[in-house]
Amino acid sequence: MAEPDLAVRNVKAAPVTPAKASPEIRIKVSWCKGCGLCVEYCSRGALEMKDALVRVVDAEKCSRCMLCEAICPDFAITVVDRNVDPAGGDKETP
Amino acid sequence: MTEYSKYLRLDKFPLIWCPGCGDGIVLKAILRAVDRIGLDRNEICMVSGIGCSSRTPGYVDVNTLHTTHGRALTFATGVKMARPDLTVIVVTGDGDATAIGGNHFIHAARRNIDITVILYNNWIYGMTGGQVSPATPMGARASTAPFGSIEPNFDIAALAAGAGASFVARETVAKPLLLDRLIERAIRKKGFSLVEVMTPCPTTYGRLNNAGDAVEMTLYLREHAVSKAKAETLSEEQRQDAIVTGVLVDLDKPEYAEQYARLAERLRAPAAFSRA
Amino acid sequence: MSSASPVRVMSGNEVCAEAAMAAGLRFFAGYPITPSSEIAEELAVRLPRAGGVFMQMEDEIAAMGAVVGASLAGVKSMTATSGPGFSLKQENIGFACMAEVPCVVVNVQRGGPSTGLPTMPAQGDVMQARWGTHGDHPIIALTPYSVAETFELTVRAFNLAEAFRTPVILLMDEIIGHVNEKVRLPDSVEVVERKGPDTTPDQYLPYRHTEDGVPPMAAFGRAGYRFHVTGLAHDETGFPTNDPVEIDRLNRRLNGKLERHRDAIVDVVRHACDDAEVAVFAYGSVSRAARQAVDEARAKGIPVGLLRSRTLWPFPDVEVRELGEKVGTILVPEMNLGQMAHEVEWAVRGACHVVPFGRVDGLPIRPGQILELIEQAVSRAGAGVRA
Repeated sequence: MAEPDLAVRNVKAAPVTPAKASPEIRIKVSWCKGCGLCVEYCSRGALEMKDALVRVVDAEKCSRCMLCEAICPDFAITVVDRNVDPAGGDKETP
Repeated sequence: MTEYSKYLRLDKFPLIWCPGCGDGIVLKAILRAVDRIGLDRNEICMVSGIGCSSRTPGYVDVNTLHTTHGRALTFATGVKMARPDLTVIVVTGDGDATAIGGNHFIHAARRNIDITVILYNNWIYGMTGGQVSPATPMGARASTAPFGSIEPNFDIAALAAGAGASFVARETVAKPLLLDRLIERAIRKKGFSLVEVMTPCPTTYGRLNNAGDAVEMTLYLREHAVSKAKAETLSEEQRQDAIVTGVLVDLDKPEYAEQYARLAERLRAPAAFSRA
Repeated sequence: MSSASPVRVMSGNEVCAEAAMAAGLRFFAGYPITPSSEIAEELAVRLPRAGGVFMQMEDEIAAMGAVVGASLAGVKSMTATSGPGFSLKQENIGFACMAEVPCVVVNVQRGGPSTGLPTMPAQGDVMQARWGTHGDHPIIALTPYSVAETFELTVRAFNLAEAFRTPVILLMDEIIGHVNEKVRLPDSVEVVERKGPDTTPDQYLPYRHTEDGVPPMAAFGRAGYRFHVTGLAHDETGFPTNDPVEIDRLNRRLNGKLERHRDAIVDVVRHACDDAEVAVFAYGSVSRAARQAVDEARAKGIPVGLLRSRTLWPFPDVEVRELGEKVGTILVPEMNLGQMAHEVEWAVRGACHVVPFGRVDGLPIRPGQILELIEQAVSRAGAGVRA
């Protein structure tokens, strides 16, 4: 394989630029039933199942598509986009 | 995204539904739709029958009515006609609405009364342990069809359309953001509006039919959902397992409560015919 | 009651509809069934004119559901049917009992069981009115004996429903429903409204265990008072519960609700009972024949009286027992095979003989038949009438 062009090596694949805050993915553990739907629907791999509960792998991978929140049947996960709401809002899960 | 908490009776959480049950996804979609329209909680009445679907109203902070099996539409009709200004939403299931509730289903559709029906179709009677329903696919197993159902199942959307509903749509929980758009349209529509939602029951249907876990069942729905236009291009065999989604019917027809109001107004006019 | 209105000739069914309107009925849902259909037909004309709603639903069950829904939305509601429809409605009547929803259910009784005798009278549903729906539940059932009394008791049915947050069954029969009699309708009637919430919305408990057993009732759509109604066993908040303490509390309050107010509900008329040594217990159209028989017997010097009840449930047990301690025999003529005779027997607890007489051929009991029973009772007693 050819040596990659050094000029492009450090460009991140995700659209999130380093200057922006990564979203906060809030999980209400007592409501999570471990169905795994959010992990399946996350196309960025920001989530994983661990001990029958979801947990955040890497919030920076989150693209704020909100599909995890939409697909969670139990209101157990929510994404707070601090670029939209810098204070983190009072957006409790749900 | 919607601030769900303002519509919820949070003290009733966590939700009663099984892990991976799609019903919670439907509930959230309903709330997103309601929020987008900007409805006042005091002006909504949510009516349900019996079954997993029908536990929904208990979690929603609006006027809620959990009735007898199959009869939600009858109570809802009374509420709507007593208070036509309220937004009446019926939450029901495949068994509740098309087995025991079948008669009320077709007549409410025929009347085209302004009620929005969200029908959670999980192809089985989940709450009571997995008995066969009119929506169970032929050949699929259920606790009361242990050798596979020998009955054809309803095309529920077609049933509603045939009965005269002015708005009929179908979606799956696998596409929650499309779902809430359809529910929004259904609520906004003046007339009998049905949104049939395919939702997995991993606990009964899933286990009895080796359909996999919640993720697998949801992905199945996602893979088999096709638009009406796409469905027309499929072969007979491909169409067997296709779930036709989207808006299937959207007609302008006289709505019952409005018709009744016009009759009443006509009768009160001085020139009205009066019986001796 | 005095009234300035003209004398009219009306049937029981027509008068029932008229009375319902006067009592504040504004939602009727029903289904055609002989011999009750005239009630629906009259209301189909009256209700839309009065700003109310009339609906012929797809079946009897739907009619009952709609009635409960409308009442929960704050509107006085009624349905009317006969035996087969009354059977169909039972589940939703039970829902109304459990959810404490005021409403009136008219049953114009006809011959049963099953399709029976659609155009002929009977009194075969009286026990069903008490226990037709499953589970321990209270119920009120009223039974008029004339067209004029149908007016009074229809209004009373609405008032009791509102006062006690309960369904009330109005038991007519085909004779009362269809016979035409002279009536002078009252100019005005006294109307009772359901007790509204006495707290702010955040304090509101739709199924509060109140002092008098009847929780205040808000209505769907009343701003702020968003409440949950379910047929499941529930606590004061209206939400379902599995707590045995709450379930027991609910069942006892619910079932005690009418019992504790029975003196206000039970309603009997005594005719010539003071010095009676034999008595007749009758209700509905049979009490017309009974009264004539009693009057004829009295003319012959027989000390007989009539206890006519206008309420079947709660049963007038105290009143019947009191009578049983005075007389030697109570005769119970009914157009059924002894459904209320059992209640009379139980109430008197052996204090006197109870003689049932049932006619189940679709024809009314004649005064002569009751007179014969009275005379037989007297002769059985021998020298002294008291057995």
